[in-house]
Amino acid sequence: MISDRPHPRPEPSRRQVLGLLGIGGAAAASGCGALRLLGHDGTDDPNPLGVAAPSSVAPGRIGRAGTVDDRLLVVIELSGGNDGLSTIVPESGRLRDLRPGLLPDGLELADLIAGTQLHPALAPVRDRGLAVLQGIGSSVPDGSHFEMERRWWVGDGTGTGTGRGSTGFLGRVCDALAADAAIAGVSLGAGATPALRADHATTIGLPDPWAAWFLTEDGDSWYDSLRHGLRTLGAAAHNESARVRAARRGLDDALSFADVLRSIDDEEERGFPQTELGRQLRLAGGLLDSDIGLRVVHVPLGGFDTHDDQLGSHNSLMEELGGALAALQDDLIVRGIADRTLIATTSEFGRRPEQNGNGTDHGTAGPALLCGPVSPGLHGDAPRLDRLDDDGNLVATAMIEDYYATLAESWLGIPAAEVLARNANPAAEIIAA
Amino acid sequence: MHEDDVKAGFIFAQCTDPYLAVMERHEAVAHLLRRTTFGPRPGQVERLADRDLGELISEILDDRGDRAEGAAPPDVADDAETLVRWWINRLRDPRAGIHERMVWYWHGHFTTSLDRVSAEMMWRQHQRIRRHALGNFGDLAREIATDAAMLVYLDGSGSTGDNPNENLARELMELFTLGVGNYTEDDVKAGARALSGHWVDWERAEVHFEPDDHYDRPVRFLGERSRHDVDSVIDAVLAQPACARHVASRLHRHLVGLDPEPAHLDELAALFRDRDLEILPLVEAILRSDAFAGARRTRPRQPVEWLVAALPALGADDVEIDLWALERAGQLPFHPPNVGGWPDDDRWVDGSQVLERVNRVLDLGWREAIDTDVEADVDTVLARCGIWEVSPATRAVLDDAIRRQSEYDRGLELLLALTLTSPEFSLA
Repeated sequence: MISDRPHPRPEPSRRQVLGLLGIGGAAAASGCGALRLLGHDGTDDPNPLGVAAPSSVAPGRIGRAGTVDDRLLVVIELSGGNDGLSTIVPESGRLRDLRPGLLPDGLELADLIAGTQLHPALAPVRDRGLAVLQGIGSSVPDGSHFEMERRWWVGDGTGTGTGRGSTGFLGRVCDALAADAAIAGVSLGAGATPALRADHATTIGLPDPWAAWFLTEDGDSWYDSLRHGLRTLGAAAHNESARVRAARRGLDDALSFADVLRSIDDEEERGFPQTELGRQLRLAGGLLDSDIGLRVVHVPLGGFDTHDDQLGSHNSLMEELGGALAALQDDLIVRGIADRTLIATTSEFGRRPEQNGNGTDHGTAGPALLCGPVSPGLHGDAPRLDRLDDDGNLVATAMIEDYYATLAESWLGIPAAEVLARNANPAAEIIAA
Repeated sequence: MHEDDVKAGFIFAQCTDPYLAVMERHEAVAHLLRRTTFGPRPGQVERLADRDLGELISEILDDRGDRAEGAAPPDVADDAETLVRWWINRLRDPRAGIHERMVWYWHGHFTTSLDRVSAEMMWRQHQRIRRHALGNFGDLAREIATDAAMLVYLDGSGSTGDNPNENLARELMELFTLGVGNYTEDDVKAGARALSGHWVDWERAEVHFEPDDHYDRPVRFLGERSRHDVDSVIDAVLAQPACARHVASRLHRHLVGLDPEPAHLDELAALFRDRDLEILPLVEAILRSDAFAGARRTRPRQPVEWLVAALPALGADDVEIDLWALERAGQLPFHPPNVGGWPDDDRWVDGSQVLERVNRVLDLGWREAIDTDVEADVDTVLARCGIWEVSPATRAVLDDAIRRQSEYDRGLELLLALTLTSPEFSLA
């Protein structure tokens, strides 16, 4: 009836666009070149196993968790609203009715536990140790990306305030764990995130962590003068506005990060896939393994707002996620820090159970993936598909604060009340004590 | 958040008095140019320093974007890079003034990304924004609501009465016109139905309305139950008191760098409403306010703004822009990170921006492009960078740097590297 339906639409990804611009490859090359300037000779590698390529290591599950005092946290933020129902898939006739043709092919699903299946791209992660906390959301959900992102960043599930100024949840974790560290928390791949805003701890966000190379040049008086000048510009002065203070702090953080970058070796691929997430998680492994007091790494992965063409785009996102996660799990084992590193995902919301065309609209509750020394399998209650809310969305079975309390209290040993405004019930059984 | 700082007038005193000291007059002109152009360029402040500030504002506002219209349109032909470079060159044009600034602002307000649309679509949207940048907000919003690029970007294309997609209706209210809390989830659902029925022809970059795909039964939208369509949705949204407030507040934050005081926002919103949502009077009211005059160094320069202002200071007017560097800095034009655009907040002065900015100054091509006739002297470099009021801390750093390095040993380059990354230049 409609003669001029749109042509199948070519949707170039950000990376393809940059490819068109002819600039993606050059940046990757300059990143590698820059790192060779760091002068690392390999003799001070604290980990003698570091020479082994993780891909040659048989996947192994992480056992029990190491001591609480030096535990680390990696948070991967799936931004745009990950479709939890295509990530951890209930074996439900109701879901099949709501999602005709939009679920990953059932035959390829890998069993997680009876009654639930896992996106096939996450099978390698499951083989290395995967726990899932189900149904995380808000008692008063909101459909706005920005509102829900903000609530997740600051740790304010109900949107009623945290009473903690402009700090983010991860920033407060850094305050509690490593207020004096050179860098306590870092976000890789997209610049600063409100999630890492801290009162005292130094945190930094870097779209391209390799940009600090110029501050690592030694033996040139001009660079010495530049560093000295930048360091002095970054020192706080009296009677200055909050904006000027923020600008000086940025200068100071940049120099701190350059110091950190000097201390790590990043020349090997270490079995990571050649994806943006793989590149950032490879650096994350090196940073966590360095001796700088870093406790929290945040890495965003965008593209989950699948209003359209969900099956294809969600599948490729799961492949990027699964490949990079499994590589990080292997890398942490090789580095000998797997027993004290927890990898956890967040996403501002899940997606509506009923599909809309070949995509889905904004939803509410969703699952979180936890990798590391965890009790494998499903935790918490799955949201019920037969009892949706008035908007046709899932009703959360765990609050955002419950999940954050699990990370802070059960994993990092920080009393939940220290970093969260509301009472919460940590899912302590997830950690393999 | 920073309002107290403004009241206290820290480090940069408020100056609207016509009998200002010479340096203060220079600083007042530089402040105006930092917010209404992509400069100031070297020498520009000195040329305008003896002008009456009120008249200067009038002259700045007398700009309909035709000053540089002689420039040929880009040959887009689905080439993203051509379009990006074309616009950056318009921003770098010495004639770029308040009209170009407002085109820049609206691109961040009515956001669309080349990640999801063709260059031809983006170019057509950009022309709409150029036409209405200082015109009527209602006209602009109406055109954007049926713009091919926007319909693709926010999934309005292919949204049907049977399967209405909520994305466009939600962002139209949340970000473009009303703000959170001024509509309900039911309004989003109703709005999605009312906007349904549009299809974008990707090849021709055109929008077709298909009546059979439009939801033609009555819906209750923002309190009014009727058979809604795009025009009635836009009418209903524009008629909400929240609309003038939301738009005035966002624009204030962009031009002033701070959220407006509630009483001031009441005045701006009332004026904007009384003038039928004409944009120019709103811009003028903001520029002539005490809040604007006192808001020195309250607004971080976004990466593109920093780069376009830094290039002439470096004597690099002819250097081609490294687009990958802008992407790394988080601001490739026509590629906003999400529908929220690029917020005016502290993220643009964080550690990662510092690293990127020093890298840009150190870029080899730039180094050679620096005018060798410029004296390696602190006052010369500050003036060249449009800074006429400098904090004691920053001056001490620059004085010390030139003592350490001496003017003969790449001293000019060191002064420029430090000045362009100082709070005085990073903030506008």
